[in-house]
Parts: sequence; structure tokens; C-alpha cells
Amino acid sequence: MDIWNIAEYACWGIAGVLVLWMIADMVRVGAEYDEALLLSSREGADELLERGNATGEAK
Amino acid sequence: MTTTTAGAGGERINLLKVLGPAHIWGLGVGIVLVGEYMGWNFSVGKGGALASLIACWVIGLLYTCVAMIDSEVTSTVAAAGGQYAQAKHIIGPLMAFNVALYLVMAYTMLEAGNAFVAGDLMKTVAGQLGHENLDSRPFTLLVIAFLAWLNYRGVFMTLTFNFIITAIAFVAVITLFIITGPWLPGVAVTHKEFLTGLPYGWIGVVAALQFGMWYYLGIEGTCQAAEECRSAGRSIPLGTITGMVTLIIAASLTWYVAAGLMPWEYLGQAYTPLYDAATIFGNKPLQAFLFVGTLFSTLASANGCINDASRAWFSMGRDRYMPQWFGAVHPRYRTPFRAIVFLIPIAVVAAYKLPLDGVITFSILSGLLGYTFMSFNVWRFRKLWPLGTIKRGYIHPFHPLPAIVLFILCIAVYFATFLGYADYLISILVFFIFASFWFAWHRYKYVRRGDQFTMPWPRPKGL
Repeated sequence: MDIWNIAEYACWGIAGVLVLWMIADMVRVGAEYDEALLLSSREGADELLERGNATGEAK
Repeated sequence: MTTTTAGAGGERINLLKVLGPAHIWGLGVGIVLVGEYMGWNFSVGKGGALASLIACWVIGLLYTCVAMIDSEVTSTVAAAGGQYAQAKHIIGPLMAFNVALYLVMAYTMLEAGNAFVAGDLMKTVAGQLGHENLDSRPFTLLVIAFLAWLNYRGVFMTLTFNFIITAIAFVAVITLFIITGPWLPGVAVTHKEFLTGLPYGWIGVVAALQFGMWYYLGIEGTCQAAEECRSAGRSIPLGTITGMVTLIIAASLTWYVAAGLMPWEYLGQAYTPLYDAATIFGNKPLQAFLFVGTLFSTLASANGCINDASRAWFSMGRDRYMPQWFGAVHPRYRTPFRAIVFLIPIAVVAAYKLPLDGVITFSILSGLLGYTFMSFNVWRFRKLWPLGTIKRGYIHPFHPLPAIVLFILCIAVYFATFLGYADYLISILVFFIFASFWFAWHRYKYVRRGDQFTMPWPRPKGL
């Protein structure tokens, strides 16, 4: 077994840990937080909109 | 940077507004720059080196129109989902659903292609160092998993990382150009020897347009980050248009170096033309730098694609175009975490099971369908909300000329794709037609129709 074989196993292992960490965190967040809160985001509005709608287009 | 709106029972979690123009530049150029390292040169195979240069500039015009149009509309519709949110507000739900699918398909397929290439690069290096038959799959999986993890943990870190590795890959292209000694034509680069006219005539130039897309494919992805910009009205136009200028420079330099060092018959089928160009010089540090540039460009592209595909999927979930479960924001990292995780297995399967040219052609065609939409979209946008009725962060010049030019060039690229990949073109059109029927007859009944239109714009003219 050379360094490349070790690298192959290391890649499988690290990728597996990262994916499992994300899934575990996703499950934890789903259990700890209210679903309505997690789904509460609204489409963004830039400050341009807030100023622009009051004043119209800058000429 | 306010992201949580507190209130009695009305607390909200939104995406973080932390990005600036440099992040937008890193996102847009990062997705595209891999096309300079590989892929663009297949346009040489279609029509010769001169045809590739013509395609480079003609498609550059197409993408300049895309960048200008996108910058204007996105500076007003500052929402995750980019062109999806634009289509929803300007044309309607069915168009928006299709545009979102184009985006998810284009970016997920491109991510899969990049991860595959990164794995294959490791296999090539191992082969050159004496280890034959390295299994590239764990490297491909690690690329997807690591970049998804990075995206999961926060957009600021993700796009700062993208900015740095993209800048390094761009410097590698500039370094290669300088080392060829462009002030001494005929010494290292010998265009007189290698430029042989148009071997397949003007039809070869038309055929080259399809792979000419590689020089710029994905720059429109900057719009997906609009909701996370501190000031979308400033960051999106600045990041996108400077990104487009960067890419036109990088594309021209890439063509100049490669077409002056290699005959078109070889260049037209090479897998890593810039790395091959560095190899011709026999300069080991330059070779190593170009290898790093190639690897970084694939990582930057895959990273940007994960960012963009997840935002498009998240936006559809938020509007119930897809199950609302996908519209969740992580309470700590403020990222669309469920959309990011959901797209991982799709990218892995595409990287492992689908042929690379098929993956890339699906990505190009999905992008092209999106660009065609943009030409109609901006025309309707200007008609419904003329200048002076809403605030725009950027106003693109010469309207409607860019929209008309964009539409004509899209038709030309459809024809070019039909010449080489008619089966892909037809199958993807059939897919989107079936998806549209599914959405109209089944899915749209779950959408809360009033909630999806969020922009506080005045009533449009003529309605």
C-alpha cells in the first residue's frame, strides 16, 4: 500500500465524515428549532428599493 | 448586517447580508475560469483556431449582453434565485419554474463535471508519479462533500475562499502569457506557422459557437447572491461587469498562447490545453503553477455552482414551487442548508454515472435556455416598469439593442448545438415541456399565490 492508496482511503473517510456531519446537524436543527422559524425568511429587499419607492427614479 | 427580525412571535431568520463586489467577482469568474483551462479548445476542433477566436469574441458579445441585462434587473430584484425571482415578478410563475430548473440543472451538472475533472487530475498526477490506475472516485466525492460543507457553514467564508483560489488561477493564466514573451512574436509563440485559416469554412465558425460558450459559461451566476449582498444595487453590477472584463481578457490571452504554441489538430482535442502549453516550455515551476491553476479553477467552479444551485432550489422551496421544507435557513450559519444537502447525491450520481460531454452539454443548453428568457424578460421589464418608475442600481445602455443581439446570438448557438448534439437538444426540450405540464397541473395548486410576489413595486403600466 503506497501513499496514493492511503490518500484514496483518507478521501473516502473525510468525505463520509463531512456528509454525516451535515446530515446530523440538519437533523439536530430540525429537532431543536420551530419549523415555522426555519421557514420564515422572506425575499431580500435592497436599501435601493426602500429609498427608490419613496422617491422614484433618480434623474 | 441585520438578519434576524425579532418580534413577539414574529421572529424571522434571513440569509446573511455580508457580500461585497469582490465576492461577486469571485463567484462569477470562479464559476467560469475553468473554461479557459479546458473545454474552450473544442471550438478549435470544430472550425480551426481562427474560428475559435471569432467564437470567443462573438460569444463574448452574447455574455456582455447577459451581464448588462442581468445587472440592471438584479439590481432591482435583489433576491436569492436570481433569474428565477426576476421571471416570477416580471413574466409569471410557469416561466419562473422553468428558469429555476434551468439554473439548478446548469449548475448541478457543471458542479458534477468539475468534480469529475478534479478527480481525474489527481489520477493523471498519480500516473505521472508512477501509480497507475488510481481510483478517482474518492477524490471526486471529497471535492463535492468538502465544498458542500463549506457552503453549509456560511456564505462569507465560501465566497472569500472562492475569491482567493480564483485570483490565483487567473494569475497563473497571466503568468503563462508573460512567459511566452508576447513582445517577441515568432520566438516562443508562432501564430504564422499555426494559423491555417478556416479548415471547414464559415460553417466551422458557426459550429465553434457552441464550445465558445465555455469561455464565459456561468458569469450570470452572480445574480444568485443578490439577497446576500450588503448592497445588491452596487455589488452585482460592479462584480458582474468587472468579472466579464476579466473573462474577456483571460479568454483572449488563453487563445493567444495556446493557438501560438500548438497546431489546431492537436489543440482541438486536448484535455488540458493550458497545462500542455506550460509543458511545451519545459519549465517545471511554470508547469506546477499551471497544475495548481487548473485544480483551483475546477474547485472554484464547483464551489460557485453549489452556491448557485442551492439558492435556486431554496427559492423554489420558499415559494412552494417545490416542497416548502427546502426553503429553510440555518439558524446559526444563515445558509439554505437543506437545499445544499439535498443536491449532494444528485451531483455525485451525475459525476459518477453520466458521460462528461453529456453533463456539460446539458449544462450549456440549460444556460442557453436561460439567456433566451433574459432577452424577453428585460424587454417586458422596461415595458412594465419604465425608467423613472422604480429605483435601479444600474441602467444598461442602448436598450433594446442588447436584448435583440442576445436573442439572435442565442438562436445561432441553438443551431450550432443542433449540428453536433441534436439528440441532447431535443431531449432537454422534451424534459422541460413535461416538467412544465407537471408544474401547471399538479404543483401550482400548493403555491400561495399572493405570497410569492414580494417586491414593493408600483403597479405596472398597462395592467
